[in-house]
Amino acid sequence: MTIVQDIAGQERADEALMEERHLLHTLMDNLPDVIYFKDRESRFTCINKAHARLFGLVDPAHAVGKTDFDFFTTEHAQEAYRDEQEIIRTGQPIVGKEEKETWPDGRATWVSTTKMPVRDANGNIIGTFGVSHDVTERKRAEAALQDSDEKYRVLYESSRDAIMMLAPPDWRFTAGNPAAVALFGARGEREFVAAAPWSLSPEYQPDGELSSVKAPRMIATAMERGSHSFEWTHKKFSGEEFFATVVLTRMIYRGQPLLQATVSDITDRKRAKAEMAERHLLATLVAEVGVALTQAESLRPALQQCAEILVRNIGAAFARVWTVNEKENVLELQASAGLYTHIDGGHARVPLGKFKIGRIAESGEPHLTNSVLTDSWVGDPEWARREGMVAFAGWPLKVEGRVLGVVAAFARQPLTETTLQAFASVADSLAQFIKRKRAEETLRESEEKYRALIETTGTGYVIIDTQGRVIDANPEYVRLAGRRALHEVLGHRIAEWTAQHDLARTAEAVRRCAELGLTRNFEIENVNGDGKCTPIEVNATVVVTAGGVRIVALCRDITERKRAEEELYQSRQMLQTILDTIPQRVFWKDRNLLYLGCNRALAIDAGLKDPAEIIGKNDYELSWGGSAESHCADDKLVMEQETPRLNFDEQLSRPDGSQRWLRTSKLPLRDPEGKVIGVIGTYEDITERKRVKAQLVTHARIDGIFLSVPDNEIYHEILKLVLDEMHSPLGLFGFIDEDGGLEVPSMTREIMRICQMPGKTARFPRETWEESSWARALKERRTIYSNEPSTSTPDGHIHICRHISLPVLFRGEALGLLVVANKETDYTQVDVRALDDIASHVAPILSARLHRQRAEATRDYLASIVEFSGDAIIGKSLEGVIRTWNAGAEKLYGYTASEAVGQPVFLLVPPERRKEVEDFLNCIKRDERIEPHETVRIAKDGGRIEVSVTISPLKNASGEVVGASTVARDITARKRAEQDLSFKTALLEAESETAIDGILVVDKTDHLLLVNRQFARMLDVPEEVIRTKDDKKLIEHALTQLKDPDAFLERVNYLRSHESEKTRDEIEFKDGRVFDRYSSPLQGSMGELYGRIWYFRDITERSELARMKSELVSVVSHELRTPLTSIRGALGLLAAGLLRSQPEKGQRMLEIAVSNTDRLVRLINDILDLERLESGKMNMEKRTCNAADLMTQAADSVRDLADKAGVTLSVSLHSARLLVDPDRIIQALINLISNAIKFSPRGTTIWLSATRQADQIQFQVKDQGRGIPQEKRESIFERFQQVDASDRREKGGTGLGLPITRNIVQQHGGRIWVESTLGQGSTFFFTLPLLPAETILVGDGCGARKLLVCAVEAEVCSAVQAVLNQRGCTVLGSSSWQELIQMASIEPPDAILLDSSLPGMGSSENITELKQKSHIQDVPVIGLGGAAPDEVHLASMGMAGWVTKPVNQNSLLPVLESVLGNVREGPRVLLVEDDIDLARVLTTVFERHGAVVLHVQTGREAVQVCPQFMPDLLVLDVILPELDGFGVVEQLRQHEHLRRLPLAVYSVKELDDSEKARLRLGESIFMTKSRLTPQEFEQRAIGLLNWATSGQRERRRR
Amino acid sequence: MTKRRILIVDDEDDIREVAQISLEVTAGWKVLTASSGCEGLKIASEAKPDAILLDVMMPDLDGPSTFQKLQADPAIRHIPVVLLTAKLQPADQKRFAELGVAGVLAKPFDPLELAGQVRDTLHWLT
Repeated sequence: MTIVQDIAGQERADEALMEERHLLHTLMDNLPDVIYFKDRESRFTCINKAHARLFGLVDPAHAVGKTDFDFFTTEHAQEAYRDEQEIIRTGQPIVGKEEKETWPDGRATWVSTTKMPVRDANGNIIGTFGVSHDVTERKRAEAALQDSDEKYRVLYESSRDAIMMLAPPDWRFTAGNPAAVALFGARGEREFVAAAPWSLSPEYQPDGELSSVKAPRMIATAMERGSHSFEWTHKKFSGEEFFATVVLTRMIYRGQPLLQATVSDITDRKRAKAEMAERHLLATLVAEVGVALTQAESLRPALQQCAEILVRNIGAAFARVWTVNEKENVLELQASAGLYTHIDGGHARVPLGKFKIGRIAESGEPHLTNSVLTDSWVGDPEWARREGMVAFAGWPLKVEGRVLGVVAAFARQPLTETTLQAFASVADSLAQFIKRKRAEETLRESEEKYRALIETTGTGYVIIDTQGRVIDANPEYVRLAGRRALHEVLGHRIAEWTAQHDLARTAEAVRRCAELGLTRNFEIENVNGDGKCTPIEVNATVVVTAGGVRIVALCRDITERKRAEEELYQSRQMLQTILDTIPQRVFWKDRNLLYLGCNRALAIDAGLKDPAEIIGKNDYELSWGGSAESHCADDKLVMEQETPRLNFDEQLSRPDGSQRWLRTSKLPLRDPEGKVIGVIGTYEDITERKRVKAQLVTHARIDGIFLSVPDNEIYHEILKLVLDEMHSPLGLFGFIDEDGGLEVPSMTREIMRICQMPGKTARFPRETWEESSWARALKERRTIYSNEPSTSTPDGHIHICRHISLPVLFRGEALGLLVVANKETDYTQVDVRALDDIASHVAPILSARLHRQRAEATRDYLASIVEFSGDAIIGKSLEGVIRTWNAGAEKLYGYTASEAVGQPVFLLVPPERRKEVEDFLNCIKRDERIEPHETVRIAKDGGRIEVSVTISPLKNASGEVVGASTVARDITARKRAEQDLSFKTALLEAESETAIDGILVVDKTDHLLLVNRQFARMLDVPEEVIRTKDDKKLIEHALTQLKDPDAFLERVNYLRSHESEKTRDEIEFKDGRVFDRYSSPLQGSMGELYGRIWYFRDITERSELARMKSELVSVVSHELRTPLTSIRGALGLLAAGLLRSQPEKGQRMLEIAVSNTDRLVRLINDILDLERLESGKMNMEKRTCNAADLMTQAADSVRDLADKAGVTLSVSLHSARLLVDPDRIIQALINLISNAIKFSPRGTTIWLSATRQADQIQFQVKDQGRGIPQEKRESIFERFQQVDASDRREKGGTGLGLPITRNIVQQHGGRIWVESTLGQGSTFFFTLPLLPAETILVGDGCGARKLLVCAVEAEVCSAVQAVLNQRGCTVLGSSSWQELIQMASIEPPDAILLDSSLPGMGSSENITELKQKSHIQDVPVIGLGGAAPDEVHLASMGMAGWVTKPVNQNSLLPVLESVLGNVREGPRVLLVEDDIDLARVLTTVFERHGAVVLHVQTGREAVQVCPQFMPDLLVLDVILPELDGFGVVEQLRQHEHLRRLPLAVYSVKELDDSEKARLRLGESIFMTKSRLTPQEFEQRAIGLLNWATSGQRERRRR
Repeated sequence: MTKRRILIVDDEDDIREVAQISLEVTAGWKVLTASSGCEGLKIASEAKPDAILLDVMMPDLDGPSTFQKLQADPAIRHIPVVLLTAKLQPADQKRFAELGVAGVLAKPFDPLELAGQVRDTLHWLT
């Protein structure tokens, strides 16, 4: 070390030494290494700066005297100490010792230290010197390296992969790990070190490349890419080869590039992979074969495909498949693939037992060989050798021991076990497949035969299941089902095409078929797509198959058959119809004379119901059995002679015994060949024809009797004729006389005897008619006949045993009676008809005869009726000439009969009605009657008579119209009554229509008579219902609207049975309307009931009001009772003296009474306020106000409250002009703010602010309270609706503040609402409309006056101050224009006094400049000087006044007063209050504001002092002794100066508007004592006072 | 005889206080008080008073509801309840009658008579 100097040079000078030392230190300090000197005791004598830094010392000198123990761990220090002592002892240095220095703070550093002895000049060792440098970083790197080396080494040694190193330049192995040694089978690492990589490989790699060429290429690639991985075949030292993957990784070791080879033996993996591949191949084989066989439609292509798969997948040279033809005992080649593909060569057919294939088939055992050339079964070894065949595999295709074929393959390589296994599996699959296909083919063959049969048959064939679903069908069936193709049928239900009406039958047939196994035959109709029906005959049979129960149905189209049947039926029907409708009887018989058929007419004759019944019968069995003999004889004759017998008459006996005459024709019935096979006959009943002929004869005889025989003989003659005709011995003939009795001019003697009538003519009055047959006949006007004994004589002998009693009827009227009796045989209908015929013929003649006789008899008294009728009856000719005139006519028209008869009827007709009468006459001429007709006629006196006329034609005996009879009735009175009625009806209708009630009138049966418009409107009744008066619809309509329709109906029903009751009730509608319903019975003057009238009145509003009122009363009463309860209770206890012994409780009771009294007062005030607001009785005294002032006043009022609650009230004023009642708006604001205070937690803030919007101002009161839930944000504005019911109690509110506030705001045209966030606070908003800008705002508020005096001499200013300061004014002085301008600019004064001594004082320009510069245009300027200039001059100078010097009270005050108003002293208040205590309080209030208060106790005093005192404000109580407030105002109004005096009325009395009007003077405010706190009073009264004083000033200025 | 114990349930502090003093001073009863229906039920369960004087209009749980809850609790359902209410409309009276309370007394009440009225209502012998 060069710095170590020999310091032994004793000759050196001290200075040199010093220099040396300095040099040394500098040198030392500049070295980065740590340098130190120690003495023999290892104490530091010197260290350099680097060392000091290491020790954490500022100055190296600090280390002197210290030892290593002071800095290092004891252990380290000890070692150093030992080393140093050794050096001192031995003198031997220690060089480059690397040691770890451990510091007390745990730091460890590595240093390389060289230590050597320091000797003095004598060579004695005096200490040690050390230098060390920090090698910590190097040490760390070395440690890391070692660490890494170690890790790698462990990896290298323990790796299971062989790791070898290859080094350049020739890339031989340089090292190998134990795994490498083991892998290559070396004895040790040494054995392959220096070997070339390819020396451990076979000569060629599997891809055929030389290892020695390929290996360097791999190495180059690895070097280039950094890493390369590939497969390699290695060779062990034993010569065994193995597969491996090699990863070559480039690396740098000790600056030299190296390759690390990692070799993994993959031989096992390779092998496994190969096996896997083979297995996979074979699995594929089996799978492919499976797929091929499953998908194959037919045998041969499938087998061919399998053969190809075999060739492809097992590497066979070729593969073939044969199948056994059992019939011919040969194998037939089916498929061939690979080397040979033909199937028609020599091996196409192999007999069983021949060749390999045949032998396999015969033995049923496989034949397998991997050495074809030596195999004895192989027939052609030469071929095998030539083709290089190595292996053969042949498998029998066997199922259940039966050989179906053979599969075989040749291969050019040996076949592995696996392959053979797969082959066996394929063989098995093939065998199964062949068997299945065979079975299928057999089945298909038979099925096809069968199908060919049924498909070509004309019969439809269908198989269905029990659900009716088609499983199979043939084309014919498809056609029958009306479908085009089979698939449209398969799976469908037959119901789809079965006609609707046949569905049930078909289903039933199917069911029976399936359940009972029956064969069913039935006919149904199928419907095709076009809706066309096809009739089908079905023959269904049940078949049980593997698939379940099936029904096989054979269906035949029977359209043609049906049509033929239908045609046949129709033609038969036609024939039958013809036969049945002709009157002739038709029959046809076979040769045995058995009936084959007949028509309906004949069947009826034969007594049969149906013509068909006759078939097979003979004549003896029929009704004419009696005459059967003759009929049959005739029939036989016709058949035998084969000639017809035509139109011969014969008689036929009817079962009832009557005889009929027939006209018959009979013809032989022949078959198509003309052979007679029966007889056909027709006959006609000609009985009637014969009877009519006889009747004509009788009629002629009757006519003869009437013509030739006298009247009295006629009845005898007719009776004789009748008895003759009727072959009856007994009878009578009588007629009905005018009295309704039966008069009998002719009867047989026997009858006479029976009737005990001795005379020739008998008469039976009607009342004597008994229950005899003839009486019944007459009464019932019908013929009665009987063959039973009916009338017995008194002696008991029966004389009449048969009879016909027949009334003679003419036009429904019984004229007389014919009776015949006791014919020898029974009477029949024929007899009745014959008698009836005679009676009919007699009736008209008899009628005419009777009429004639009667007319003659009645004529006389008819005339008297006409004469005395009350009606006017006039007979007139067809020309209108009056022929008859009765007494009624004379009375009505005033003409006598002699005057009227012979006159034309127009005598009575007003000219305008002439045409009417002419028309009537024309009608009469046409034999028409004029029904009652109302018209007007003229009486003899010329008066008009309203008449109702009926005119009838008058006929002569032969029925001709020859005149008219007029019946006229006076209807004047009726007409009048009708008009009266119609007027009353109209009146009633108008009344009901205009009624406010809905009116409904019903009759006794509840039918609608009347509905007025109002009712229709109320119930919204449709126009149609009103028009049709449909009561059912009306009631339905009404019921739908009612809340309780049942009760309504019940009421209606009740009234039906209590029809005379009146009712009144209320009915509720669903829409909330309530109707008052009143009903009353409709009664006539006699008390008779006509129906019921209902009145309905809509009382919804009324009932709603009543409900609200009751609710309000309920709530209010509760709210009032609550504080009253406390008051009453507390006072009750006190008054009873019960608490005398417990004064503290007594005190508490008093408190309760007081606080609840307050609460009661508040509540009552609020209720009254609200009531007045809501009813509009609260008069709003609107004035122009400033919003800011209202806010200020409101805020001031509640500040105390806020302070008490510990809540900050923050107000941001906003100035805006409003026209409002300030008291009310302040009240609204106070309400909102005090609410906010109540609900604000201590320490929070309430903000009162306002914002201006378009034409309104919006006030906001925002708090940080608990917020208001959404559902309450509307309802809190309703009365008694606090957010929480407990709030009322806790917060002391009345529950009316917000409703009042809302009312106030609304009455000012504003809106109020709240926004709120729960837990964060609420903001109440309300808006008020702004006043238009041009409206003048009356300002208020006026502080003490302030004057600026400008005078050169200070005395002037002092003089002014002396006068004004004591009057509360501020006087500021200035001595120049500039100063004046400046001061006025800063704070505008109320007035400026300018001393005339000021330069430029006389110039108006200076004053103008003053005002402009200081922006005080309106501040009056007053001059101060000698004599005052005239007014014009003053004005020209811009001055408002002039004060003449010397300045004193007298000169100054009047001028200032005239300019500024009262400045003598503070504002004056006259207080008129009889309550001295209250007066004292109020006086204090006003005096606090600097006012002068004069208090008087009576009204009279007030009136007296007022003119002298000239107050600025009058505070007036209303109720006063001597003269009350009204009297005071009345008197003050008389004074010119006092009538506009500002007035504050402060009264206990709540004043109404008229009272306020009577009390008004100038600006007036009204305050109620109990309603205002003293603060509020102060605020409002002082407000008014300020306004009054400033107003005076304003007015003066103007 | 032990002192009668009566529970007053009313949300109005003042009324409660007045009623309490009234009953204590005039009848010498032991008076328990509760300021809500819930509290009333709780005290009734714990202290089993001889009778309950129950206000009708109370927040949260009103008198009738309190009464119904009380009836639902077998342990306290036997305690007679007298309503003390300012609800005196006929409709209210009808409603109370249907509840099945022992009686209804009107507010305001005479503090000197209250105990007597309760006694009469409950047929207590003096």
